[in-house]
Amino acid sequence: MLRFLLTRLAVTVPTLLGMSFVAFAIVALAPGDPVQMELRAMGIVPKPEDIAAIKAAYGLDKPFFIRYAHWLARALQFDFGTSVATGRSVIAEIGHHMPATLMLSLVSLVGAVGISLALGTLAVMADRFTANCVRALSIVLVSVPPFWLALLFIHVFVLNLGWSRLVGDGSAIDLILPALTLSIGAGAAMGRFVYERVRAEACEDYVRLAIAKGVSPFGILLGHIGPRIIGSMTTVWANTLGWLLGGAVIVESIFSWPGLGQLILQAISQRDFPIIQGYLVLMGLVFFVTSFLADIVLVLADPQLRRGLADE
Amino acid sequence: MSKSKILASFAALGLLALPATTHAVAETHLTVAVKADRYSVKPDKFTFTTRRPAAQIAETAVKPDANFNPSPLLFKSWDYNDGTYTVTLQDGVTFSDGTPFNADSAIASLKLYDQNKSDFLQLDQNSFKKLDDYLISFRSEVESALVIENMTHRGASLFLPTDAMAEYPVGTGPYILESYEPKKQITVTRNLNYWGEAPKIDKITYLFIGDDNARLLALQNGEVDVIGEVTPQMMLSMPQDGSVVLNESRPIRYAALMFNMLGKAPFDITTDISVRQALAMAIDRETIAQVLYGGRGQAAKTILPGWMFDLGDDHANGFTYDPSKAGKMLDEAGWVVGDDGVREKDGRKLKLRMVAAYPNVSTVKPMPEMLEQMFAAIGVDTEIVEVADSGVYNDTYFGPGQADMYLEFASNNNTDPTYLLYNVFTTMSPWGYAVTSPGGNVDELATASRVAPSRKEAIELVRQAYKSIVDEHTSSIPILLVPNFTLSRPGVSVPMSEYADWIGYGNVSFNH
Amino acid sequence: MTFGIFLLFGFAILALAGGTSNLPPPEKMDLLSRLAGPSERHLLGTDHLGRDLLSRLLAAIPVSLGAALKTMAAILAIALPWGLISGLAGGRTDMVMMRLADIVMAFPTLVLALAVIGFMGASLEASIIGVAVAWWPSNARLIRALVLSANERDFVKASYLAGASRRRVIFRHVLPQILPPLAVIVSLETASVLLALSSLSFLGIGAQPPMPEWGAMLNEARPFFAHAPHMLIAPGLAVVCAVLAFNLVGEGLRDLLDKRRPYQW
Repeated sequence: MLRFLLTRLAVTVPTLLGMSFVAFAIVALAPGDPVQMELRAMGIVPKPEDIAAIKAAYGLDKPFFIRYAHWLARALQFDFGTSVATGRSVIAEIGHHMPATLMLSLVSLVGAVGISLALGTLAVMADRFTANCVRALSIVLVSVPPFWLALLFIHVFVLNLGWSRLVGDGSAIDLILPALTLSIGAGAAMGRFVYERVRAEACEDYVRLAIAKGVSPFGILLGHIGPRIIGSMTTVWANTLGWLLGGAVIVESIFSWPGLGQLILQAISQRDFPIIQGYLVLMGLVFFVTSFLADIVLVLADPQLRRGLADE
Repeated sequence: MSKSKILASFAALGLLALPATTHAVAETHLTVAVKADRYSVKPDKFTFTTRRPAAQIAETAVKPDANFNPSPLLFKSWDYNDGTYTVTLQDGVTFSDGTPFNADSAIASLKLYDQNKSDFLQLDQNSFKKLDDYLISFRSEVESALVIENMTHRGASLFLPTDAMAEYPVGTGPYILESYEPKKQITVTRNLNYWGEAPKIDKITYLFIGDDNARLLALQNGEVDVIGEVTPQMMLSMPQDGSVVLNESRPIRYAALMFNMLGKAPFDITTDISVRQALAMAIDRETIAQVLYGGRGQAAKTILPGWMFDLGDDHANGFTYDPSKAGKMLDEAGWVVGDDGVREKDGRKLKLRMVAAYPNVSTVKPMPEMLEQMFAAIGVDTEIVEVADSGVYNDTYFGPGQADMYLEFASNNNTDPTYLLYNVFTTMSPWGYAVTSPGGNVDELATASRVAPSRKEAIELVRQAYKSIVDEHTSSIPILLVPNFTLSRPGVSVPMSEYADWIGYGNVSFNH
Repeated sequence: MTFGIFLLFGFAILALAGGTSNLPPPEKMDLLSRLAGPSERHLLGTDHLGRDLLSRLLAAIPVSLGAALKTMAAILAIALPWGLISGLAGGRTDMVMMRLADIVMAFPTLVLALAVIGFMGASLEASIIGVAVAWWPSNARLIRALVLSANERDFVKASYLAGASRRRVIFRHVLPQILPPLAVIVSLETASVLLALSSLSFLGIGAQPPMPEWGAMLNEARPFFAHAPHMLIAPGLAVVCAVLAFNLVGEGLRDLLDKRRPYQW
């Protein structure tokens, strides 16, 4: 097991390096000279020595790969510099916005998992008519743009019924609408996957055997199919969490949820390069951590793989 | 019901129950929703709590009066002679931490300006002299005669230099910082030792809500008392049943179309003045004014409103809506209508790119679509590029000259009459506006106005320069003059100012 | 599936009908009847500039669907060769190519697309490129998986053993095998791409006005949704139906291809 973990980590290192390079390059190679922008923002007439001084201050007078090396060395210590717009450190800015996004994503994930299991198993187990209805419903829910759903929710629950408020203080009540919006789309998408997996397993011989033995449908689902699909389900959950963390941009902005999505939207529009780089690296890390954890679960959940690792 | 509403209603009850001369018993708490948090704590461009909305902690040396002249605040009186400013300071003023405001602390504060590099406040660091406890003198590094005028800009607020300035700025203002959560909210409470007249509101919370639509809905839903940074779209969609109250100032901002004067192909069509003037006559300003700001904008003849600096409403002739004359001008310039309704000359289509807008498109939307239709009516095909931020605007389109026309929404937001002219309409512009500037006589007028011996003479030169920009060069077409707006819930009225940074949120009144 | 195809045909017919009907042109403003609700003159009502919503909705069909198809084509143009080469070459090439795809996949799709568009300047073309750049790796992975399983089939192995050339095996045996499942993927992914593009337009960084496009129409409708909800509902439903159509076709194809039957209990 330890060996598996170490190999898995070793494989990750070059990818992480590549990812940091992309995060650096996409911003460093973007058009628009940060030096000129800085001078214009300060409202001063640039003299050549001013430009040279600022270039030196940002290390822009050095070649691209040297700059990358410097940046990487600092990034390894989680130092992504200071935000151009606010003057605070990038890590502090991300730290301010992380908790709100994390809370929204986790709650949405739990909601989505619940919805997906309900939709998926119902589609497999119910009678033909109900199953078709459930499948149709999932497809419709997958097809609804989340931002549109968010606006409909606001129209109904905030403006017409007055059950909820729009500008919260980040407390649990304010979480309900944005989390619901995100859960429905993600839940329906995962529901399709649950249906696929359960249906695929239900074609296998061991299920026929279980049916022949007279095991109840729920028994088959929980006792036989469940363990077999839990590994791949975890992978999907991990991917969905990554998607929720990064993909909540629009929903956060519609519901004025003070999370990372708002931060990155503003950073992109203000061309706050250090924030964009820090955010991209963070999201990459999140992606690798979640998929790493999912891989471990995948191994632990699969008896064959587990045995294979033990034999080594 | 939000906390602020409950508090506000208590306050309202208090005000009703007591005669107006005594203070309300309950705490008054105002919640204001504004757009983005743009504060920077960087030492070299420190804007934390200086600009709107929470410009209540530090005060400026002078403030603008109703006629846009500098009037005393922390500076009691001043004198400019032979390049030296001699200033008598306001006495009896203390910073909120108890430090007295006197010649020593004032000079220390003023020296912070040098870090905050502004082209207009280049004070000679070695020229500061303490003449008496409340008397100082200094000189301008660039021999500017307009230093005092530029001190009315909120960016020139005076802070006590402390190490903790980025977390807890100390000023002489009516409020002190209570809490700040970046990009979420900033709350200020009343400075009990304020030297001037005490404000009405005890506590103000500014919520940063970047989304325009969410701000308006929050107001309609009773979650905030006031919203700032009102867009034309908000005014279009604002309920007209009295559930939202509009507060407005005199017209101050201009919406104008600026032309690329240095354009290289394919953006060289508008270097021909007859095309520019034809476009100027194709714009139906009255219609735009009716649609865009609920009829509260004014069709503009020139860039600055007539009331400002007593420039006078007719300081330029401007253009009236005359599409047939516009068509004739284009015919004469050789642009003839083709089969598809678009004009052509030497096989080239009259197709123009319009970038909308500075500072962002939501400040003028849906003006771009309306202009596109008006230009189409005289056979001009317009490609609209909407930009949501000034970064893209400057880097991608403005700086490199990658468009024919630039729609801008801005104002002369300090009492220096040369400020906007020099920065935005001359080839010397430090912000890169050489692209859209006519140069020549306008540059000369602007330069002369900055060193004019008296304010009156400076204003006369500025007046001539704007007239020349509009009537003679038509390098910019004025479209609308627009007031500053805020929206509030019924019973709340906001004392407005033409300067967005000077809106007195501390003196908002709750009527019932 | 039938319903999905029916929907797609419906869009095609409506797009053609929109061009020939006597509706007002989609850009024509009637400033006197702004924000009007549905009526005989304007079946779906008008927007904030008095433009006919039905006319704009129909004119948007080729724009919105066209953009989604173009994006999908761009994605496939990268993902198909990438996945094929990676899957067939195996070994080190495979590993390097998949790691490269992983790098791009690590970033949230929408944010990567936003960053790309932010640097290119907003336009429909930029959002097509932005989405394609952020989207191709996941499709490359799917295609590689299809190639791997196709390559494992006995008759593919047999034709290698029989001495058939690599090119011949690929074109005669591998490609035909992956095409049907690829059709499923393309259909389902087009649905997601359509959603992503409309999200970008909704943020105001896709199609530029006055071009009619569903996402952009929703963006324009947003400030007015409290008292002119008709502006929001029609384009929203159009997006839902279009996405639904591609999803239904994809699901339908999958059911057709899936010969296995689950054991019923």
